[in-house]
Amino acid sequence: MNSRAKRERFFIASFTPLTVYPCVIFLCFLLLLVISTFILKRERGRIADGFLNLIGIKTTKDLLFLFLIMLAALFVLMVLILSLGFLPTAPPLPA
Amino acid sequence: MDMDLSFLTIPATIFMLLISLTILFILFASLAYKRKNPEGKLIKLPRFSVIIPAHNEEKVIRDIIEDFLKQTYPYFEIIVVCHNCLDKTYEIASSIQDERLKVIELRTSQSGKALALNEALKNASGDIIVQMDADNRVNTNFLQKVLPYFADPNVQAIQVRLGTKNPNFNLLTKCQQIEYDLFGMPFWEGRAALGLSCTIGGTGVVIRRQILQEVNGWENELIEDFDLYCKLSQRGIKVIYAPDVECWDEKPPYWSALITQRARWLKGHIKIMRKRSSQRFHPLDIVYLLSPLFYLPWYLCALITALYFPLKSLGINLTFFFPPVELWLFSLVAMYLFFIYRALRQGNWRDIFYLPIFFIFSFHWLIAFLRSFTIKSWAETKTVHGYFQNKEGKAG
Repeated sequence: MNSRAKRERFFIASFTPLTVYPCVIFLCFLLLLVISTFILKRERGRIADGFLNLIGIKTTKDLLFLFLIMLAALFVLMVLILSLGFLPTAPPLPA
Repeated sequence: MDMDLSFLTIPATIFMLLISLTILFILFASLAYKRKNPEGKLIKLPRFSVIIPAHNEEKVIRDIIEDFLKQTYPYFEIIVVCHNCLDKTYEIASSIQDERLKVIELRTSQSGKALALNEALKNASGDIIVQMDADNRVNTNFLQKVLPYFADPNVQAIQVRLGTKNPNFNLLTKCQQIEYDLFGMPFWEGRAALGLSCTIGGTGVVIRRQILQEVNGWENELIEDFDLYCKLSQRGIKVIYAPDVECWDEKPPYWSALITQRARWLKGHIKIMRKRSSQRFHPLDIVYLLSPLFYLPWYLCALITALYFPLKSLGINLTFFFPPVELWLFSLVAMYLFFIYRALRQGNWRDIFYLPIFFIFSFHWLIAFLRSFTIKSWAETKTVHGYFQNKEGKAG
């Protein structure tokens, strides 16, 4: 178990922050969508619409636009994070 | 090899900061806004002409006509212009039997809301024109509340508050409601507090017929409302913001419809900016006029930043100067603090929960800017209406 955890830690550390940060931010965006949808559903308290409809997606074009919008937001956040010096130094590799 | 791109990034970021800080200034000016009660006494009760241009609006046309037929103020007429309709808009509107209602069928080879508006103006006999969209809803005392504003002979035009008819349809309409309530309406209040004319929102515009005839009505532009605002501004006519009078419109609930609508606004705005470049404007109006160009330097800076690492690996070292990121963070934090304050002041504290998703939503303007290059005509970008449940569709 201990060696498995070590291997996983090594696996995550092998990615650069430039790969990990966008993935984490993108996941946060998705989480935000889910949480906001949940709040909206509670607020209106009726009609069990599908998740896609609640986030404004009816066709693949809508999905594409949402993806592009999230990409633009991601880019700005990445620039902000990097400019503020939040880019951590690479962790020392295990011996 | 070193390549210094500061000659591009410095003017671009100065321009972006100028627009951001001006908008922030106008928003914060709204904190000083106090609604003035309309002054003056009416010598004669005016007659209103409510004009409603409609292009394939069969799902919504009945509601707006019925809202106006229930008005408590008695002197008005309703003119519905069904312009190049391919659905049952004309049949539905004509089926309502009332002598105050006039339904006109208009067929033209060209498309454009202005054509229908001008046709309605030609047929209007009222002293004051009330311009509405077919998807709007109003309360029964709408005209009664508009009336006191026109008791003052110096008031030529007013813009009523715009609300959202379908805020809880989905997250997208919710974000648009937040955008209007926490950004759009305070922006108008800020302009009013600074003594500026209110910009025209395309619906809920009430204007004296004589003035409209003097400026030859509406021009057939992608955003004819902004062009009318420029024409009025040229003549020194101030549009008064009336926050106590409200109309509700339907917001597009899907991303493609939203992007297309906003792309049309941007394209229309840029077209009018070029058309009106020789006109004299207030300095704050010039910034507003140039605001769609905000996205051009954004893309330039984004491209330079994105190319930094790939070019570095090819041995090309890009050097450039951007203003300190703290300056951007300041304007972003200030704006969101303003939104929180505004939501609390309006009693809509629940809107605060949606602000993180609103942050992502606000980036749709960047995509709409790119999409605007593909916009060809008004007809292809016309927003489709009818996406609301009856329960939410009710005004008030």
